[in-house]
Amino acid sequence: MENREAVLRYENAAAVLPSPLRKLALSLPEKYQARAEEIRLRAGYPMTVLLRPDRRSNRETFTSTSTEHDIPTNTGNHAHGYNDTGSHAHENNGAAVEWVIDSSRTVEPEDLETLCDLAAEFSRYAAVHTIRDGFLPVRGGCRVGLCGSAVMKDGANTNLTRLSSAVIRIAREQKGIAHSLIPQLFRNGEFANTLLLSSPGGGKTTLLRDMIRELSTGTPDYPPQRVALIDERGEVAVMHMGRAQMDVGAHTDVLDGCPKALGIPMVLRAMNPQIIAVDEITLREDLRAMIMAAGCGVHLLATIHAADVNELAAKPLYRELLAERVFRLTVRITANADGRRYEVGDLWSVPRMIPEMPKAVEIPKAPEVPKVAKMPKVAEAAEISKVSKTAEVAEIPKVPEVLNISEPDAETVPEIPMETDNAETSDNETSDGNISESETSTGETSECEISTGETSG
Amino acid sequence: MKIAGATVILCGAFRVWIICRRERKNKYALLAHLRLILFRMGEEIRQLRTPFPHLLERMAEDCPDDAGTFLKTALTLTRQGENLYTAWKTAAETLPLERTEKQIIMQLAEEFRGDAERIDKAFVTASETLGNVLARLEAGEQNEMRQMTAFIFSAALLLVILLY
Repeated sequence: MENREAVLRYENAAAVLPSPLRKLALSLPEKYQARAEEIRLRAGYPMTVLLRPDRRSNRETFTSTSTEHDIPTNTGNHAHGYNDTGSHAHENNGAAVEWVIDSSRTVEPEDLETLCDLAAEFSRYAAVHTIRDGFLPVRGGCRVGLCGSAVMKDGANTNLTRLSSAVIRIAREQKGIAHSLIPQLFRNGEFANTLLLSSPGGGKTTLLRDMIRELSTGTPDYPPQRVALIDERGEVAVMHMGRAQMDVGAHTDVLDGCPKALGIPMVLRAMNPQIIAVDEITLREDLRAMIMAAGCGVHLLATIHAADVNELAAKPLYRELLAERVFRLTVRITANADGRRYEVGDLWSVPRMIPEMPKAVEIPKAPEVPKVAKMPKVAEAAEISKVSKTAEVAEIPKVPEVLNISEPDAETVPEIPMETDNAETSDNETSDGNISESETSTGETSECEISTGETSG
Repeated sequence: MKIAGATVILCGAFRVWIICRRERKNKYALLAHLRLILFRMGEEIRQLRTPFPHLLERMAEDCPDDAGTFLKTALTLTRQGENLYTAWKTAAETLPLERTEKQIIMQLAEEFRGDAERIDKAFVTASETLGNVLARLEAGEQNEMRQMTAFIFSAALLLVILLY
């Protein structure tokens, strides 16, 4: 059943190919069609199909038209397979196999133009905003990536012309892969903000799609959640004429083709989501929008291109995200011979994963003041506070020039004379002349109090 | 007898005139519909970026007679796997119009790969051109009618004289 669905998706992807290439693509046997991840076209070269490694056998053969082809599979070696027509397959180490179906038929630029027309339903004007970003969503869930000459205007790409290569990415909907993961992503009955991590092509989008579906549908333990999906590149829900081509659940609202930084505030205001899901955070603006959303009490689910947390922490952009503690959990996707594995990690439980916040301001050493009161301990500070409130507060004509800082946790506090004309100090002053509470530059809360009786003239 | 003969001839001529007039009216109506369709398509492409297949489908539903048939033919051919540019031209060939009028519509296919503004401009221009053709035909019709009436009466009178 799953195999049949995969074949149907392949056929759907092949439907956007020009007629001669479509026939060629459909000549691939069904068991390989089911394994196909991409169909690649480059002007001047034969069309290739990227095949997912088959983990059941080391080497397989198939017969196409008149020639028997050898398809190398995921053996962990780098291999090339050739046949008498010159067709061959490349195998990258441990990755998918790129297979040339017929090397005698090369892709012409006109083929690429026709492919673009078919993918855009002869309406390039309707897809120009995605073409300029180098892709085209296709009905049925596939996506066509495009390369060609960029048409630049005011420093921005406005269109792609003279297409030189294209890749049809066949969407894989793997329902149920997130089923066992979902219960691990809840803390105290609430969904914990989660990041999906893997290197490119690792299956982040497929997992994200299924997680959205599971969260939206709900489980016996957790009720359905209102999920707002910002599908900037149209790859998750694959919207077509207002309908999601992929199952993202009945309680999911999809904002399609909108930049995340714009879309997050939009859905936050308009859709009242419980969870906001986004694919591939890449820009600082996206981070800012997510931090803002987290501050509004909405839960977040996002993917990032990073193999693990260490790689994440090594990138300056994501370091900020970790420092803000926006995300609590990570799901790391790894692939091995047995398939994909999902490891849930808790960012908050491992202190070293969270980089320290940089100290914002260093307090400069103030010049020595002749009469400096000794800094009182907590109990003494409380006494002084009482005295200042009851006795001679009214007699204090103006803000005194020296203040004492009492830090409750510090056992031995060095003498730090500070001048009272400091702007920060006056901001925290209460109406009765006392400074009640302020935050130090490092974010720790401390009590500050003006010493009433020991003002220096 | 002679009067009856002249009457029959007059009636026959009148019937021919009616048929010609109906055909002309149909052509004018078709031109007017096409003009309106092209204008609406251009506007919708510019404002809403509606893809061609959906645009053709919706416009075909709204259009009567030959204009609707033209759009449906183009849509059907596209759905059968034909290239839209070819399908559009093939469908335009079936329109009951003069060659020059068909050319106006067929040439639009050359602009289909352009951006929305360009396509809108092409559609609006084609719509205006069809409008001009229609205006010219309607202006010419009055002269033609006068000539036709004079011809019919002259022929009937001539017949009466000859029979007398």
